[in-house]
Amino acid sequence: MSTPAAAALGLVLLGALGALPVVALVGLRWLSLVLAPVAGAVVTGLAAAAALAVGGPLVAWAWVLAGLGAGLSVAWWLRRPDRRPWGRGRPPEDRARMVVVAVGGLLTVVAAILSLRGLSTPTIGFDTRALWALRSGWMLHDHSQMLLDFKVPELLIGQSGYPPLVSAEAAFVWGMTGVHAARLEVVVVALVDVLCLVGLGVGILAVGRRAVASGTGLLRLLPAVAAAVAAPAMVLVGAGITEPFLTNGYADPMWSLCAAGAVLFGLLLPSTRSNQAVALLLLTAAGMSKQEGMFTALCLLALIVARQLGHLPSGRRRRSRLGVIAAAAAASVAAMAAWPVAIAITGSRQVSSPLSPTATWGHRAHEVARGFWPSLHVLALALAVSAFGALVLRARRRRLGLGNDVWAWAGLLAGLGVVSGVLVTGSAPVVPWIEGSVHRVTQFPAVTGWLIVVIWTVTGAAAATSGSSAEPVGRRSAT
Amino acid sequence: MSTGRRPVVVAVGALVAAIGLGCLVVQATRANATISAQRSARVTADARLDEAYYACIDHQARSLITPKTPVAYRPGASLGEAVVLNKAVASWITLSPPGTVPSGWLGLRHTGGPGSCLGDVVTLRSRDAAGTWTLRTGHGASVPGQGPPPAPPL
Repeated sequence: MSTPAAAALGLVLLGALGALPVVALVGLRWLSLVLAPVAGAVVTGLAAAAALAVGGPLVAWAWVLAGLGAGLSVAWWLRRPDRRPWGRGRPPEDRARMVVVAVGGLLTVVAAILSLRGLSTPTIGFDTRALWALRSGWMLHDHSQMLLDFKVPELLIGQSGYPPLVSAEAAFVWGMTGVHAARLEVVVVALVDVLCLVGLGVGILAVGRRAVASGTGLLRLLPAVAAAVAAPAMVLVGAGITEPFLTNGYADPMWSLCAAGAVLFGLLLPSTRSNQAVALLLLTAAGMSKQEGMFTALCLLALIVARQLGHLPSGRRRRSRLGVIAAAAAASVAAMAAWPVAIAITGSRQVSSPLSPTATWGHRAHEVARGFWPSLHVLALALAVSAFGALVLRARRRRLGLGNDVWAWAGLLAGLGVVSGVLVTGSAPVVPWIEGSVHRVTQFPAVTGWLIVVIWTVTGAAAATSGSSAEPVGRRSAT
Repeated sequence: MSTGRRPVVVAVGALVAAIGLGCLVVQATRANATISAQRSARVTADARLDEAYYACIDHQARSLITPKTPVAYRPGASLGEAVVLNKAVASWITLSPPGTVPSGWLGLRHTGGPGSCLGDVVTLRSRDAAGTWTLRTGHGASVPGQGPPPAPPL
């Protein structure tokens, strides 16, 4: 089987692993189609943890866990018929709005395909060979050999204890297709990354769709038109920020794009059950992709929970909602913790990095700020747009049901703080460390900065049409 | 909202939307150029050489051992040697458990010349049928030139 064919089949199989739980959590949305392989990747990460800790083939574990997820989904629909995605009436659609959003969706897909052009070069990143694809092979070994692979000191790779998702999804595809090639890892990871980018585009289109006022004038479609331009542009911008790592098999785009998606759906978009589920899934994927992704995901989870606690219902539903929030957060943390626990209980290699002397932290922080700035110019634009918006457009933003900007900025700064903190407190020489990693570790704040700009752009377009007396279709209370 | 504020809101909204979209489109154009740069002749040539080098090391290793052969890296292997072997073969070889004697010690030597992978050859130190230690070198693949291959971006 050729690599492209194996990658396409692998993506379908990853989607099959995650499909039912995603539909149960998110509903029947286009977004579910995009997220199913991401959920499948999360399943393979859990399968890798089980295979390491307990034994048994990763592929078998993946299907067992997927079956468990599917069973729980069906049980949920049996218990709550009102939550079934089928047989639900949909409100009549505004045709003009639908056409604009559909065109935006089409352009987003085109942008996603264009973003994958780098795959035509047979690049395999240094860390892809030295770590990510290497572990994929280990994850397919029998248990005793897998333990040796992760434990023996002579391989000199403490990083093999890093979160498993990228290696695990590739191992699953290798196992299912029989094609064991680092190049296949590169292609599969790139496809899943680009699906995350498309997910961002779908979220932006949802805001534009929501912001269109009812009525008949063409001007009212302006927010949807703005979103239809911004969504594909965001896909390209995200790809530009994450290249060359988007198409060389690295894990950094995976955690960065998933975490940015968690900010979009969990902290920026209206606080619906579906959006919160999307955010939870994405932040779990981010946390299972890389160490900094895990710490950022934990910060984002705290912010999303805090946002939810801000508008709990009163009475008996309050307690039930609190229970759901606690259970969802616990499930996400448990999924992220599964691999580190497996690494710890099997005595596998881990990275141990001593701290630098505290007296050097000021100098190191200065170097980090200086090294990061060329990659984060967008934050100046985002800050200016946020300030203008907060002063003049915040009422319109509230009427669209969008989250307060402070949430997104808190998420962005948390992620930036995590990677900065590692560089400031670590003991490696800071300047070469920054030079060798700045394009990877600034991906999350850069993409999130652009998302803040995009959300204000669509809000601005909605405000520009506010001469119309009509209200946005998706009007709801402030969040 | 008061009618007095509405024109301000409309104007600022239009301005924010125009600036936001303008910046996005400009950045998307720059991003498109970044993506195109991944297909440049130099990047493609470097990627092909890198691929050829590691395929060569992999092929030479497979000429010496099977995936079931219990092996270990040769004692005293340098970090660079271990990294190349990790990248090329560690995903499929069978490691010998600690405390046991492996069937062979896998290593890498820089010999240069024909039959090498950018100057490197894979070596296996093992006992032959008579119980004598021998050093064999991998064969069946070569990449002309002198290594190491161009470093991909970190």
